[in-house]
Formats: sequence, C-alpha cells, structure tokens
Amino acid sequence: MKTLFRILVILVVASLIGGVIFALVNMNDSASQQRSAFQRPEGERHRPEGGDRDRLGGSIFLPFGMIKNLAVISIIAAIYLNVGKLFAGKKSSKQVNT
Amino acid sequence: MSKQTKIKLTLDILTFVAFLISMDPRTSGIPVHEWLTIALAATLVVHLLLNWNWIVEITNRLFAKGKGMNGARVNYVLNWALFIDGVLIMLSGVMISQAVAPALGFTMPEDFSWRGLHEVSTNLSMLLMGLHVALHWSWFVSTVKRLFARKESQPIPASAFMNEKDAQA
Repeated sequence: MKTLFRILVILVVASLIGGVIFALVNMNDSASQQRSAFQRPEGERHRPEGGDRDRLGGSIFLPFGMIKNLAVISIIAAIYLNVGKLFAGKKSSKQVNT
Repeated sequence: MSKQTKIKLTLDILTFVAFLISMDPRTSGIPVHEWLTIALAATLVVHLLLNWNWIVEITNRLFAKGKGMNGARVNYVLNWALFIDGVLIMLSGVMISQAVAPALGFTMPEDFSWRGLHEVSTNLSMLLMGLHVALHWSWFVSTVKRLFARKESQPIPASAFMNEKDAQA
C-alpha cells in the first residue's frame, strides 16, 4: 500500500511536470505559427540525435555512439570529481595556514 | 551487505547500460531506442522507490534550513533537474515517436519543436548523468569494494571442521 502510494506520488509529479512542459510548448507553437515561413517543408524529417530517423534498424557492430556517450559522461564525472578534490585541497591548506 | 543494497547496485548498473544503449538510436535502431527508454522509465520509478527514504530525509532537512548541507543541496537540485529532464525526454520522445506510438495505434503530428526539445534534453541528460555519477561515485566504489571484500574474506563455517556426528549434536 505504501509502495503504491509512493508510485502514485512519482507519477503525479511526473504528470504535472509533463503537463507544464506540454502547455509551454503548445503556447510557444501557437505564438510562432505566424513565423511559418521558417518551418521545414512537409515530409522533410531529421533525427535530432544525429541519426537518420527513417532508418528504423540499428547496427550493433558499430557502437561508436555508445562509446562516445560513455566517454562524455566519464569526462564530465572526472572533471567534477577532480575540481571537487582541488577545492577540498585548497580549503584544507588554508586551514593549515591559519 | 543488505539485499536492498545489492538490488540497488545491480539496478543502477543495468539502468546506466540501458541509458547508454538508448542514447544511441543509430546503433540500436529506433524501435529498441523507444521501447528501451520506456522500460528505463519504469526502472527509474523503482530507483526512486529504493531511495525513497533518502529523498524524504533530505527534503525534510533542507526545508528545516539545515546548515552545512551544501553537498546534499547540490545533489538534491541535480536529482530534480535529472527527473525533470527525464520527463522532458520521455514526453518529447513520445511526441516524435515512430515505433511505440504507431504500435499502440496513435499517430503523432510532425512537430519540429518537440524534435528540438528532444535533442536539447538528451544532450542535457548527458551532462546531468555525468554529474549524477560523479556525486555517487564514492558510494558506488565503496559498495563494489564491500561486495568483493565480503566474498574474499567470507569466514568458513565451524561445521566445516566438524564430523557429521558433532555437527548433528
């Protein structure tokens, strides 16, 4: 019962956030309808993540994208951890000096 | 190590691997990308349920204006950002769906603002995921160490040195 309540809380919060986003995007869409000259022609599609959206199949033999994503995440994590260590080191050396 | 910690660790590793696969639709293909992301949403709910006590505790402490909680505050704000970004990815993904929506009998209108949002939110999720991993790295390392240390130095039960009669007595 407790778990069901928690799941409900998570779903309600997610729905609220989703509703706000949906409303914002629709508002923005209706406001920008006048600028339809900038819209892409019908039928033209593009894949935002850099892929071809019309190509439904994948190629498991070339997971370069995954490796690249893993590298990006690792670099961000490493930078954060090292910057944190640097600040902690500076703090402790200041305390020793005082 | 408790059973829940083991479940948490396993779930986190699997979620991270699934995240990496779903973030690369060119490799996995659109159907895998879409269905896997929906499955990821379910695992994220489980992830939140497993960490529910921490969420409640930190929320209470933050609203009680506790001092010296900068680390926890950053973590808390980052987790909210990740949650909101996750909702944005899911919503924009559903709006531009090519596999899940047709399979469920829906036809989504071609809307480029959702595509743009999907692109921005997925790129942002990489940054947020990197920071999320960094903030929980020490927990991950210590949990993995504890898991392997326990296995290596597991004490041999006393019954192993007894003969059958002694053990029964």
